[in-house]
Amino acid sequence: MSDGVCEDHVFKQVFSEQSENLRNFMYYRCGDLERSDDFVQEAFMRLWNNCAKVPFEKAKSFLFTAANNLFLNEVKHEKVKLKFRQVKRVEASNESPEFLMEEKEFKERLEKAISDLPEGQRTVFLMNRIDKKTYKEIAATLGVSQKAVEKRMSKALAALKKISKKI
Amino acid sequence: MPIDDEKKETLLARWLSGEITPEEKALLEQDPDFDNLKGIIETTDTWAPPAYDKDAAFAKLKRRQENEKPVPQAKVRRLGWARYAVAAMLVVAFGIFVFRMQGDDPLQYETNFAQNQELDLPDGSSVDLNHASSFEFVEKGGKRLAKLSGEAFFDVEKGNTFSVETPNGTVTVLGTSFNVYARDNHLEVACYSGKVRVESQGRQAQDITKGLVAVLTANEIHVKRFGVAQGKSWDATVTRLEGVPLKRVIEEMELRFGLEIDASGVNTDRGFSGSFLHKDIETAARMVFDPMNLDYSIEGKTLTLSDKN
Repeated sequence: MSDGVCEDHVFKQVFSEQSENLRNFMYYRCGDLERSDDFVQEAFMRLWNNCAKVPFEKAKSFLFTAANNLFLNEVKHEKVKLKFRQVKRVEASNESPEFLMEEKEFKERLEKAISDLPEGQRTVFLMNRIDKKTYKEIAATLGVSQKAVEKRMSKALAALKKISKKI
Repeated sequence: MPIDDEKKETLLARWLSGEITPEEKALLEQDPDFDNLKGIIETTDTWAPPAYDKDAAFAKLKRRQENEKPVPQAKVRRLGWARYAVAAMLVVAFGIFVFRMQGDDPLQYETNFAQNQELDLPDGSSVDLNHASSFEFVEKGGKRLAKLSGEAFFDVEKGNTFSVETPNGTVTVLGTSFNVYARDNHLEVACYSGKVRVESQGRQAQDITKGLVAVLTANEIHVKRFGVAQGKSWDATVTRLEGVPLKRVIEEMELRFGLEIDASGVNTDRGFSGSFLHKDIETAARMVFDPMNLDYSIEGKTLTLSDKN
């Protein structure tokens, strides 16, 4: 009880552990970096203002719920346009300019196809593939069953598999 | 052998989580789209989310915390202490205005559904506040005054008179531990050590000692021995109840889990002795209603009770 979220060091620890996950989660949902950052700030402000009422182990779910409510309360949702950083090279023997062009073009088509997925499937797919979360972790974060996560995941894959490197 | 779509979808999910068997993988590879899918996953595996500057984000949050002052409750309370300290210094300096300043600044606490709060009072006493309760404390004229609505367990330091005012009566002590239950028109005080006095308008005051409980009835304060051997009957994880009517158990469960219990179809005056865990409503319902031979169904925020056939 003594080291609650109201303690500065505990609050900072929660921020350090959860803020990036939360930012990514909101980015996958709304597709807008600036707004995702705002959601994170606002969610942490709410946690701070309610710190006496939120036990440490409930802080994560409080944050995700708060950010989610903020998102749902927005009147207008923009069209999602996600962009990712390429941090590794796709393994390939061919490095010709044509190949690199094709790669870049494929990345853009894939980003668009992912952006166009239904929100639930998109979030689950990206939390798994980009944030490397297990289905179990995703289920706990979203408050749904693991079965539901698997279902969304396979639906996302079924929708994406039509995207081919060849146009 | 062709596989149906549903089976294929399950396999895809298991392929990505690495739980797939070689035989199942062979099945997937028959799918003409599987090559595309492999290419897609190989590509997304080289991606990372947009860069994130955690330190900058935290600095920004800190600035907002400084600027927006609806500081959290616990902080307000701590500021309250700072003012006490100032008041104490003023005693030395002027020796006058002290009582008024202290009297103006009671400590206030409130708990919500499903929430307990342990409080340390300035006189060294501690109070464990149960769910959905409000509590106030102030030291005034050499007396310690607390106000309670709800339920709390008190462990009082020896010293000046300590009294707990509730909407239905007052409990006065001299250093002891006791539990006060004061909701609606109930008042129930259980004494665990020392001696407490329970008073309520129109009834004769009662002193109770260790192991006794005082219960407010229509025209008196009834004193009896309580069953639970030692210690308080609730904490953050469990509520124990002994020989209480079922409706009291139901009320406690509603406050603990923040839901409504529809007991219109059953007799709620039957006695109950037992406990329920605070883990989740399903566990609690099983612990209470199964032994009472009652059926229950939970839908949304409502639990409905019915007699077992």
